[in-house]
Order: sequence, then C-alpha cells, then structure tokens
Amino acid sequence: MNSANEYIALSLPSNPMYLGLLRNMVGEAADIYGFSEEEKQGLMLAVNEGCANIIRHCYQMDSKKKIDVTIRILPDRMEVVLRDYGEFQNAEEFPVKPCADLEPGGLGLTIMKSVMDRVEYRPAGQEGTLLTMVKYRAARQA
Amino acid sequence: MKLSNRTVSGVPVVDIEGDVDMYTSPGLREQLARFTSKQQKRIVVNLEGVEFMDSSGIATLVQAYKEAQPFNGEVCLASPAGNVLRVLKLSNLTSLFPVFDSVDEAVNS
Repeated sequence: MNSANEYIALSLPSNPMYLGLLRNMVGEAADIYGFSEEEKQGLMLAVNEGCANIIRHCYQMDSKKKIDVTIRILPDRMEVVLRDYGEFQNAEEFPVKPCADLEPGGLGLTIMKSVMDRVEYRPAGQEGTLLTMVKYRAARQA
Repeated sequence: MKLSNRTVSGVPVVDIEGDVDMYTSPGLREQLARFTSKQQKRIVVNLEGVEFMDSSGIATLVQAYKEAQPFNGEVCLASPAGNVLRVLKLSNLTSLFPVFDSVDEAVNS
C-alpha cells in the first residue's frame, strides 16, 4: 500500500459520458492507496453524485462546460475536490431528502453525505463552487 | 450498459449489464416506459449484471414505479447486490420495491 501526500488532478468536460471514467480513476486511486472495498465503492459513488449534480443543477446539462477534479491522498484520508464554473449554490443548505418521497432529484446529496465523512460546499473565488468531500480510512490492524 | 428483454412465464424481464448512471439511465427509462405504457401488471428488472447504480438509476426505477401505480402494476427487482443494494438501502427503496434473489423467484412470486 502507498501512503503519501500526493494528488491527482484532471479536468473533465461536463458530459455524463465521462462519469464512468471518473469513477474508474477514483476506484483505482482507492485501490492503490489501500482503501477497503466498501470505502472505495463509497468514494466512487460520492464523486459520481457530486459530478452529476454539477452537470444537472449547475450547468443545466450543458456538456460544453468544465469540471476540475483534484484527488488528494493523505495518510489517513482521501479528499476529493470538484470545482465548477457556474453560479455558487450552497447545496448544503438544501434539505436532505428522506429518499422515499418518490420525487427524483436531491437524492445525490443525501447519498454523498451518507457515504462520505465530510461534504462541504464553498464559493470558488468570484466564480463557481468548490465541493470538497473527505473519506477517512478505517483503522487497520498491522 | 446493455439492455435486453425476455419473457419468463409471461412476465417481461429487463436484463441490465453494466453501469446505470446519468449517462445510461435514459435508455433504461425508455425501456421500462415501453412496458408501463402497455400496462404490464408485473415487470422484472434483473440487476444481476449491474455493478454500479447512482441516483439517476434510482430515479429511473422510481419513475417506472410511479407509472405503474395507476393500473396497480408492480416493478420487481431481481438479484441486486453490492453497490446496487447499498444504494437501494440508502434510498430507503428496498421497502418500496419487491426485491428477490433471482429472476425466477420474482416471476413466480
């Protein structure tokens, strides 16, 4: 297992066809840095939902925009930052849906909060939003 | 994602292979709508070949459920596992959809 303070960065077009590529990259990173299978699946799901939320709500399904992804790996956690270039919306203030209300939409944030240890939205300077998601690695026996 | 249809004991079964996400879920939505528009009393969605499902996939299943409600139709889920089962549980949807271990069980229930 690698343990380092390293980061991976890339920019994606805001096209849903790239969600699979992003998931695979996050999954590979989780494997390389020794996250458990459950942690890996949670990371892949949360990053997918964060990105899909940007495409749907921030960019209104416009596939010509840009999403910057930074994955930072620390000894005890993985931090994933998604940056968009739309209008700032603090999704954290949206009500967390109980899911079974049968209305599509809003479920992504609920899922992100369920599988990650921290989910935080803040403005990215004068334009856009930074979505930071953190997953701590469970303590392992030596 | 690949979709295929078959009929088992008169019940339509939709087999899914691959990931169900924002990119692929419109195809599944269209497929399920074909059956609900024909007022099929029972539809079985076979999730055995699905390794990943996100909230778009969940919304697609919920949409089919809602479309089936007016004629008391039923959307059954067969063989959800791993990540798919986790997302269904996170969404509190295992109580909404009849969930079965296999297609045969779903068809014959």
